Amino acid sequence: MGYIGQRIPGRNNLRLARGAGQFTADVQMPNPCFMALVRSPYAHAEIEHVDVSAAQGLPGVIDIATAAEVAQATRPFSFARPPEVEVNLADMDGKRLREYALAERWVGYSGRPVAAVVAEDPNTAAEAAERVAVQYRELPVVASAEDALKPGSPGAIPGWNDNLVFHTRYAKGDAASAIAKAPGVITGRVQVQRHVPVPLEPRAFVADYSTRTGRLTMYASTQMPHTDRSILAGALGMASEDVQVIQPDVGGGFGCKVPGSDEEVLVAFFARRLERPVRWTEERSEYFLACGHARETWFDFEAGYREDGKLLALRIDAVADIGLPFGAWVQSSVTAYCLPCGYAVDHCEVSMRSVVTNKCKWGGYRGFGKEAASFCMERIMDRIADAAGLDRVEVRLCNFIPADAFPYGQVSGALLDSGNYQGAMAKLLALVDQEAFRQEQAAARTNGRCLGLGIGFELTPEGCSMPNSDFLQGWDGATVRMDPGGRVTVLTGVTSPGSGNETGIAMIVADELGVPLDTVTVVQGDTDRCPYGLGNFSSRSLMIGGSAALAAARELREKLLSVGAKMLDADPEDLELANGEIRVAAAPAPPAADAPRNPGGPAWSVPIRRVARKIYSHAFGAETAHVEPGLESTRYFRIGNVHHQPETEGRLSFYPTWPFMAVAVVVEVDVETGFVEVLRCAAVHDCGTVVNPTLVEANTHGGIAQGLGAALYEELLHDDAAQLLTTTLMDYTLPTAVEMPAELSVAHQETPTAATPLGAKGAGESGVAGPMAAVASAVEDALGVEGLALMTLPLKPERVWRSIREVAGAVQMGETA
Amino acid sequence: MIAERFDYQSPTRLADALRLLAADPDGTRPLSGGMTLVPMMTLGLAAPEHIVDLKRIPELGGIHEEPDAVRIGATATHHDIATDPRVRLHAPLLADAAALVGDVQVRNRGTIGGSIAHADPAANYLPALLALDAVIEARAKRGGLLRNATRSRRIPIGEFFAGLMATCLAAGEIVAAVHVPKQLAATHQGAAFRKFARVKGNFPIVCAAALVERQSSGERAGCVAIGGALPIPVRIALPGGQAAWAAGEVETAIRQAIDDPMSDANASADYRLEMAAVHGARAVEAACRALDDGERSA
Repeated sequence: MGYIGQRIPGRNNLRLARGAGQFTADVQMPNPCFMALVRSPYAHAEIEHVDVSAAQGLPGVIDIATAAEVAQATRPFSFARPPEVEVNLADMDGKRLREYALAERWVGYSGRPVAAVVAEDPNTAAEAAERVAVQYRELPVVASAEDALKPGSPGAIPGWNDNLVFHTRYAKGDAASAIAKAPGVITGRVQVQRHVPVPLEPRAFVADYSTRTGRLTMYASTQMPHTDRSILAGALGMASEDVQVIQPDVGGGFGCKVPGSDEEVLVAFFARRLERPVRWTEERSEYFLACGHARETWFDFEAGYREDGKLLALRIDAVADIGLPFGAWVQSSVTAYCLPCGYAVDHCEVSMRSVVTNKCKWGGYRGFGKEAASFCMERIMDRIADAAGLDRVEVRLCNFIPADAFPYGQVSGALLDSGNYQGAMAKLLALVDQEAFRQEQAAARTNGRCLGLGIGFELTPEGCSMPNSDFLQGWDGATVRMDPGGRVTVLTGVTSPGSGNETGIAMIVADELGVPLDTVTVVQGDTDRCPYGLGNFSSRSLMIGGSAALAAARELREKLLSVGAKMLDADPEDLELANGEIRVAAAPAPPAADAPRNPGGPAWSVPIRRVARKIYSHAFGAETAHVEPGLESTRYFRIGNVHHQPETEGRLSFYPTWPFMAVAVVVEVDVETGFVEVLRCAAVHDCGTVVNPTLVEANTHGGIAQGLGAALYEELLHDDAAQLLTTTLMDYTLPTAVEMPAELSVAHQETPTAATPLGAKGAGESGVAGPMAAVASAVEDALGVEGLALMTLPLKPERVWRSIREVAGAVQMGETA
Repeated sequence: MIAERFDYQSPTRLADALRLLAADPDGTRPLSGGMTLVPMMTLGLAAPEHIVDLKRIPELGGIHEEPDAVRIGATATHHDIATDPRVRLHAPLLADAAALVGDVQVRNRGTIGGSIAHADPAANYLPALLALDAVIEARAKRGGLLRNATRSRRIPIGEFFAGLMATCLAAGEIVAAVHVPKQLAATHQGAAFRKFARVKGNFPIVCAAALVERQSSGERAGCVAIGGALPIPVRIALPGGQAAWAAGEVETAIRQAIDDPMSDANASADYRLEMAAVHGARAVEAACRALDDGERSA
């Protein structure tokens, strides 16, 4: 039996728990200097004048950069474009916007870097930044998508004829007439709030430039070192070979550490200009202001359904407030792309308008828009159930894509690889005894306690592979080498943000080579050492990076078997690799396996390390001369089920694998206060073949925590001038360990995908959407107030309290309590 | 990151600390657990030139029993107070309030003196001390030539708070201790504290402290104090002359006592007022239950 499928704890857990991790801020360099930024206090303004004289005079200040200098010394940058290509970060309908790391004449959101200071210590840098005097002329602010869409709205970006950056539209059938003919119709609005992921480790960069070698070394808390290298090389006009990006331990990425930030380019710019190490570690308040927001979307829906709950036709008109159109605003298109998620709807129209405002750009956030889509669909399912007087689970079961209908083409063209949603729901219901809960609920009610059960379903497509994208690609590389002592090193193009994929990849390679797990070392996150790869996003590290490592290990395996066969005088077909040795499959159990097969004849088995040694040290020998010397292989893996040629393939489908999860939560709601406590959570997750259940569960636990955060607590708030009000963890309410349900379980269903050799799908983004939906559903269930529809997140106490009163009226509430 | 430079002193004698504080009262801040001052400094909301750390001064620490009161030194941590048997015995309300401050890390470092002096209206201690009729012992350097002369005064808690995050402490004056009158035995008095926050470790939206006792006439008397609703905590005497309070009576009394409640992103004014009423009433109810339990066990 191999390692795959076993519960093996992450190999870095103990080291990180002991505090022995090396994060970017821990990286020491001699004689460093420190960067601080001058950020715009206005959401929308013209920069009239920048006066750095007061900062220059401060002892300890080394360098100050203004926008003009940065514009001269760097190129405007986007994701991984080579420097030769003129980059238009937004170029939709002729709308253009080109930005450098520092804003020169115009700022479009509060927190935008305007000037940068480097000093001998961080305090001096901060003080100098405060002394830079910037004269602004305020412009009319577009603070919300609602305002942005109003006719005559001032432009969030001067020169644009409107505030719409992109309109995603998908349609199938004839939704309008099907709704007109449907026996039942519901309408409503679902709203997901503006969010950030809040990793424990904020962004951090340390760079050095050597004139002796002409090389820039960048330590970055990043998810994608190679992409980062391309961006830095592009921005600085350097050869990518002259840039080394090293990713030390990362304290969480969740999408917000994809490369391409103003701050990182500035660190590199100063390191080269000063020929001295430059450091920058983000303050939490800067993180909230400028790292990148996500998710702020509303969905107006109209759904026609049959008496039995079958959704006949659906129209969704969604609007996303993407702030300025940099970074990961494409998440809003992904939201549209996923709809209507795991449900089969014959007539469906999806419209998503991505609207610019004078708020921070979007950054990636786990779920990458998929969570908003699932949340929207789950709310619609609950509304249909309520309107039709049906059970909420039954409505889902009758609308799920049937398990025998895969691969299934969704409205957007997305080809869903495999699934068994009914199976996951059935398994969940077996774990959650609904009848027993109803009794518990009734008993609690007599004691004045309101308990509720909610069910949610999420679909989280993974392995994003966009056509003509420099970084969203469904392929990756890995090198596997065995040294003469038989120890294995795996170098991957994928990286780990702390999630543990290095353990899963080591398990795959150890199984393929038949060697003990602890002889396999995985090296990630160094552009000088690792093969080119695209890093960590879209749950790709294990399913794509692991598959590349598998392919490379397989090549080594063939060579080991071929040489082993000669050494054992056996047919390679009759051999197996396991437990560190190559042996004849028919060999007796140890210790007899060491004995010769017949007197004076070949042995039953040979240790793999001896085969390795033979390959290295007897390259001209009789047993090795037929194979290429060396024990190293680099292979690239391209995932299946990606369709980029609509002309010949009939569709554009850029998510190859579609994991899913059914989840139930039990909440208690305080009717008098609107306070919600999550008591229990159970989930059934399906990411195809599970390489390591412990790691999948750990990932899902984190996803659930973020899903509960989205459901109940987290929210970025702005005032009318688009000034962020929630700039500290005092104001931005995060759940902590004590808010997690005391009972939390994740079970697995395994519906393999044909897109990867092991049948494994991604698991990294799972767990967020389901709890968002299940909590909303559970709160409604707990209150049992007819007509109550909680469609807007987060369900903070005051919102729940007001919703109850709006529906039921204060008098009735007193009675319920 | 703390951007501004400051100098730091950690005297072991109270007189030295008070002299340092008096030398430049505007530019000097006393430091205890640092749970409030340090975040304010990292956010740039406070930028003192001098920090005087009070933690090494023996007179300011410790919990001591006096004939009629428990004296809690300013640098006693929330954890100290929550777990001290004398506080538990003589002022269980305060122990409960301390146990619900922030999270474990905050309770291990944060101190009662710091919390009181900062006077955040939502801080757990404020309504608890108000309900308990605590007395603040304040110290300052005495004027004149005597180098080591200090001045001490006792301020009833009801006169201590001057407004939002403002106290009646003079420049250079510090909270040295809190004297909490010994309460009646659990057989004669019930106490309860309620904190309402969005997550357990956060500052409350409102908090409520209730004390209820049985008078010789058999009637109940008591009070409830509310924090977080107004810029300073408010104490409400419960309507006397009754064996029990009618449904809604306590809530009405609280609503009447709170005029113009505060508003923020976590709770707008009308909701905050309602939460003050609901949690105040719940605290009273729990205190009554505690009294009933105490009487039964007597």
